[in-house]
Parts: sequence; structure tokens; C-alpha cells
Amino acid sequence: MTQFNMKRFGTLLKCHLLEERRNLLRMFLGFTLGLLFLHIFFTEVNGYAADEAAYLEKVEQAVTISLVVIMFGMLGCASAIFQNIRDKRPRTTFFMLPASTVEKFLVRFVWSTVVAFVIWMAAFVVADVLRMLASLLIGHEGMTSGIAMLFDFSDLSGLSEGIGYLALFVIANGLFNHAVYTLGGTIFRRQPFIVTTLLLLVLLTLVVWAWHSPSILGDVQLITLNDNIVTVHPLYYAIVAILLVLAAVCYWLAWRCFSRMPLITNKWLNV
Amino acid sequence: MIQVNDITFRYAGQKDYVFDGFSLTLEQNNIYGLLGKNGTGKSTLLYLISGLLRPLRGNVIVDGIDARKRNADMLSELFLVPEEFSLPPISLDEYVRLNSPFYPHFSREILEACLTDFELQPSLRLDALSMGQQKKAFMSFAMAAGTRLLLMDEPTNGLDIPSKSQFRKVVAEYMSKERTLIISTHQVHDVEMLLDHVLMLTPKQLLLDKSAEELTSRYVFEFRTSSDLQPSALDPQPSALNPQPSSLNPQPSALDPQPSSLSPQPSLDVIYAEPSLQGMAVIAERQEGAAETQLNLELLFNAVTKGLIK
Repeated sequence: MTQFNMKRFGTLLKCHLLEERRNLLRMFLGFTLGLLFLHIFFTEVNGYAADEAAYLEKVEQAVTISLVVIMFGMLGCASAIFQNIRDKRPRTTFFMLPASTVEKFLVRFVWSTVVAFVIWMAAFVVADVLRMLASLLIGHEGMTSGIAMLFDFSDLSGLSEGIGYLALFVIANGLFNHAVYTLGGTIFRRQPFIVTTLLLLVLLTLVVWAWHSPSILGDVQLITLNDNIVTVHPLYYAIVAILLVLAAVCYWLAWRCFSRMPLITNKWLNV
Repeated sequence: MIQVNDITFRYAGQKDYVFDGFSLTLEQNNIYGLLGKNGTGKSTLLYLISGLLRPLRGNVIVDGIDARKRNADMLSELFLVPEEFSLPPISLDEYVRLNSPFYPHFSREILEACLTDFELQPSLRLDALSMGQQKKAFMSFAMAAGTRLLLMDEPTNGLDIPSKSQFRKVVAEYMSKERTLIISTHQVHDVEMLLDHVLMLTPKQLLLDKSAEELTSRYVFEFRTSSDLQPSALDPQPSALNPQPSSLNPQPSALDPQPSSLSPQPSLDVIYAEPSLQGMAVIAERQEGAAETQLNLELLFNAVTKGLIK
């Protein structure tokens, strides 16, 4: 009656990844081509870089845009968490596998987050290497690596305290978005990414309206930076906490929906 | 043992209930035939037993576990062969290597024997197989999985003529005593020799729940000429010019005019009759001392749906 068995989970993960390897390869090739197109567009097509400094700037632009694409791509992968069981036949196979619903949910969660992240990163590296090879062929001097820039971006140690607060906010927001897209991918049977995005836009509009409405919140500054002194509004902590709690609730709801998901569902919803 | 306790079920967005207060108990060590018209809920019942669907009310208990929970231990003792299924684009060998660890009683020997019977090679790629071959490969895996409960939804659909008899051979050979098999089908002639128990569904309720033994001890299933069913044919002695085919000897032949103990009884005992190519297919009360006949599921089904047998 064990709900989670590590050995069984490992067997299920291995089985799932090996059976899905063709899809994983397809994803990797698609992501690589997409990112390579972006890199080439920003470094070679979108204006000519007269010198290496200008070229470096263009690579920076390409890396920044790639990061945005990867971020949205991760949300897309979160909403595709149950893409494998969209139809009745694969759904029967997946549901009938002798593993608990927790293990099955976690396997798909690992697929839509960890595996997707690894694929995105591998695609970024390959696209960057291909871009560097292309730049050598075109005649740029020196090798300007976007991968090194990616590490520079993630190094926050030299930045001010205010950036730390901002980073925490971004992480909480990112987690919340990921959880919402995971829930959307579990509940919506068709076009989960688009439907979830539309719902989030509605929610965002309401939040922005509330934010700027004097009778509700007014224009609250969450983080203020004056002469290197950071002032954090108490609402900042409340919002970060709410986002984290909401993220946890969305993940839990996604699992709950999955554990009760029937084989034959509504046309649009997995209920 | 499977207990279906007072379940009510309908599909999302549908008004009509597939089951409403439906109950059923299935014992171990039996081969059940689940019959019914289209839309009576045969596949739905299999999905409810597997936990793939959840009843609105009531519950389905499989070996003491609520099927709704899709418990891993329950699933390792339950295998469903749906009418339509998908297999990954890998070789059969690899499929077996990846999936067999989930089934504690998996037998490589049974798998190889089933594949040999079905004339399949383990090295074949699953995505290169025809639908019928895929079904045979999947059924071989199902037999080898060694689960206590095996559910098959239209197992002979898509199988060619030799494969249907291979299927019967495989099931008869590898169904051990500890296993229960539920076959839902319209292809009644493909499975009637295998069944221990017959279940017939009508919308929302169970129309018949009887063992094959009980049915064959109470009724005879045979062919008679239409003249036997006329009042003048009440004479119990069939003549040489009017030989009586039995279900074991359905071809009337002037060379075999001798009535046997399998010969039909007068038409007063007939419960249900319908015309067929071999004459009138008949279900009649079995007289004392008469030999048992082979179950004719199609005939039985028609008689039951007309309310002539309960």
C-alpha cells in the first residue's frame, strides 16, 4: 500500500524516459533550432557588427532573448506536463502502470521541469557553439561565448542588496507561474498553454487594476533604493509569502486533479 | 475477488446513467464472458474495475482495495488489454525489459511460449507491427505478466482467423488456477468455449449472471429443422429422411440418419429458436439423461435479451 517507493519510482522514470526518448530528441532538436535562429538573427541578421565590441553586445542581446525564450519555454513545458496522456490510448497505458499516482505525477513533473530544463540548457549550449562556429566562418575574430555570459548573469554576488530582494521576488513569481502552468496543464485538455496564459492575463489585469486603485492599494513601492539604502515595504514579504503559498496550492491541486483524473473526460477539461 | 457495490456512473456531459445502483460479485479462478449490446457499459465496467473511471456513488473493491485509489499493489495484480491501445516505438524485447519489473509474477517462459504460438519474434519493433500483431504482442505480455486479474476488451477484434484460435489456445494454456479473466466481447463465437461464467448487461443492470456449467446443465443448444418446430413435428422420433443436426454435428447428412442422445427433443421444450444456415438454432430445456451441449452464446444472448431466459 506504499504511496511512494523509491525503487519503483526509479524504474518508472527510467521506463518513461526511455520510451519517450524519441520525443525528447525531437524537443532537443526543436529547441536547438529555435535558439540557433535567435542567435544568428541577433548576431548576424539584425544589423552588421562593425567591431568585436559591437559583436559582443549583439551576443549579449541574443543571450538575454534566449533566457526569456527559455523562461517561457519552461512554462510551456510545465503546461505540457500531461501531454503524454492527452488521448485515451496512451492514458490507459500510463494509468495502468503498476505505480502509485504520486510516482506517476512526480515522473511527469520531473519530465516537465528537470528534464525540460536540461534539454533547454543543452539546446542553448549547442546553439551557442553552432553560432560561434558560424561567426568564425563569417570572419569574426575571437570566440565570444554566450555560455560564459549566462554564468555572468547568474552571479549576483557583486550586486546590491536591493537586487537580492528583487531576485527573491522574481523567483517567487517564477515558481508561482510554473505552478499555475502545471495546474493548467493538468486541468485543461486542449491548448493548456494558451488557455492558462489567457487566464493569467485576466488575473494580472485585475492585480494591476487593484495595485493602481487608490481605494485598494494605491501605488505601493515594494522596494525603494535611495543612496544604496534599501527600504522594503511590509507588503513585499506578504506578496512573496502569498506567491509561495499559492504555488504550493497549485502544485497540490495539480496532483489532486491528476490522482482523480478519469480515463474518459470532458472535451476541454480533464474532469 | 471483485465486488461492485451499488455503483452509479455516468460520463461527464452525459445525461443518461450507464449504471445506476449496479452491483456484482466476481469470484477468483473463473473466466467471465461479459456480453451486452453496444452502449450497455461493458467497457465502462472494465474501466471501473481497473480504477480508470470513478463511480459517482458506490465503490468497486478489487482484492480488498478500492479501485479508485489506483493503488500500485492493486495495479501490479491487474492487467487490462483495452480494445485500442498504444505501444511505444521500441522493440518488443526492450518493452518487456522496461515493463516486466512492474509485475512481480512476470514469466519470461510464458511470454516466449505465447510469442511462439502467435508466431512473433521478440526483436520486432512495436511501431512496425500491424494492429493485429500489436494486439498479439500485447496479449502475450498480458498473459506473461501473471496478474491475478486479467481484463480483455474485445480481444479478438483485429485478429485474423488463425490468430483467433491461437488466442483461444494461449488463454486455455496459460490461464493458471489463481487467475481471473474477464473478456468483454461481441465476437461470442471466439470465446464461448473458454468461458466459465456468463454475464450479460443491459443498460444499467445485469441481465444474466450464470455459470456456463449451470447453463449447459439446464439447456441444450442445438440445431433442428424448421419442421421439427411445427406442431406435426411433435413426434419425438426423427425419421431418416429428416435427420436432426445437433450442435456437435451441425451438418445434416443422409449418411448419418441415426438419432443419438444428442438429438433434439420435441418442440414443446423449445425456449427459443431462430433460423440459421444449419437449420433452426434452438435453446431447449435439457431432458434428464441427455448429453450436455456446447454453449451457444449468440443464441443465449438473443434469448436472454428477449426475456426468455433469466
